[in-house]
Amino acid sequence: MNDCVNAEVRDALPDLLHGRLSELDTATMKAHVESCPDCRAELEIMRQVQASAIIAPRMNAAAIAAAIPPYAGASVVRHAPSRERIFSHPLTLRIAVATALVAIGGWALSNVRATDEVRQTASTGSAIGTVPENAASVVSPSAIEPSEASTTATGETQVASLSLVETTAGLSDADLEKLMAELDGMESVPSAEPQEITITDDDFGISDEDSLR
Amino acid sequence: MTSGSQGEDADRELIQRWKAGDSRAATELVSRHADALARFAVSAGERSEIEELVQDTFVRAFASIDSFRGESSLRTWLFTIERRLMLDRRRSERRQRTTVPVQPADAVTEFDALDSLLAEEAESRVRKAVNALSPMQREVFSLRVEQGMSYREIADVVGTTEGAARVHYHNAMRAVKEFLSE
Repeated sequence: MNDCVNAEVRDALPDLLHGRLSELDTATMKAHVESCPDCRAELEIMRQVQASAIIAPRMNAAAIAAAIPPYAGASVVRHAPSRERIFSHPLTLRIAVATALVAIGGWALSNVRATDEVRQTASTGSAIGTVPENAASVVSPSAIEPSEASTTATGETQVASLSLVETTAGLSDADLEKLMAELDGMESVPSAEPQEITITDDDFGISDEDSLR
Repeated sequence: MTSGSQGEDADRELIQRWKAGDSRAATELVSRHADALARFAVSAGERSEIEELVQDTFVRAFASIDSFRGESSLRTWLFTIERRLMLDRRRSERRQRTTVPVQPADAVTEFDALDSLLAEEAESRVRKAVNALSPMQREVFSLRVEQGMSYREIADVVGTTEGAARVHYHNAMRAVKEFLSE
């Protein structure tokens, strides 16, 4: 038993058997089958398969239809998660909190390092070039205000800002101590390692029920 | 090369009528497809509670009718649902270990009497040849030869590609021919 070389015709044989072809295709196929013993044999096998099929029980359409509930209207189609739902997912929430903690920690750490450099510069009287560029921005306004102790005889003031951006070599020990005291008193600079920050669901406007979903 | 859009149009119209509250439309839809679903179940090896299976298929289909987008025919969609239900059944049976996985050749069921009446046909060489096919080949072969489905429709039902369905069918036909020529 061989296969017909015309693959398209072989593919369409079941369609011929089930009458799924157009009138023209049906006529063409029948003409081919009459002249092709391979296709005739294959078509005969299909007829035998159909004939030998185990007969399925007849279905009671009315009984089956009676079990079908009436149409309940258009169902709600779920689209992609909304913006509010994103943070309700436990994993997403954890990632968001971890990212926020890392960002805050990094920012605090960089500020601490900058402050340390300022302190070192101020205490050792090192060269101007060692002072970080952003050091001036770290110093509080009070640090650049003139103080009585640093007023000279000519009325000019040797203020902390000058000592930072120009030189500290000309300052006396008393001036340096005062400058250090002012630096220690600055509120905008952390005096220790960054403190742990706790972020709760409330920060994201998420209720307990949402977080359980 | 095939045509079947008239039946699909009729299905779509019946669905709209059922949605509008016409319960007779549901009965008509069931009448159009229930026997084909029963034949598919039997050819896939199911022997018991065929009507329950077909009924479950329709209940599930009508419950989620809005998810039917008409990209395939309604019959193909119903076959897909029924096939999933059959797979669920078999998984459940395997878990419970109360029944042997259904095999057409050795199933002992309530249809034994009917089977014995049809023994001559069921035990014919061609049926044996079909039963000797792999499960996937038998399923594809049955959908193509007994149901007359296109490769595209078969691919949708069994969850494969059109090309793979074609290959399964031709391999199955070759195996049947070899079996018969032995």
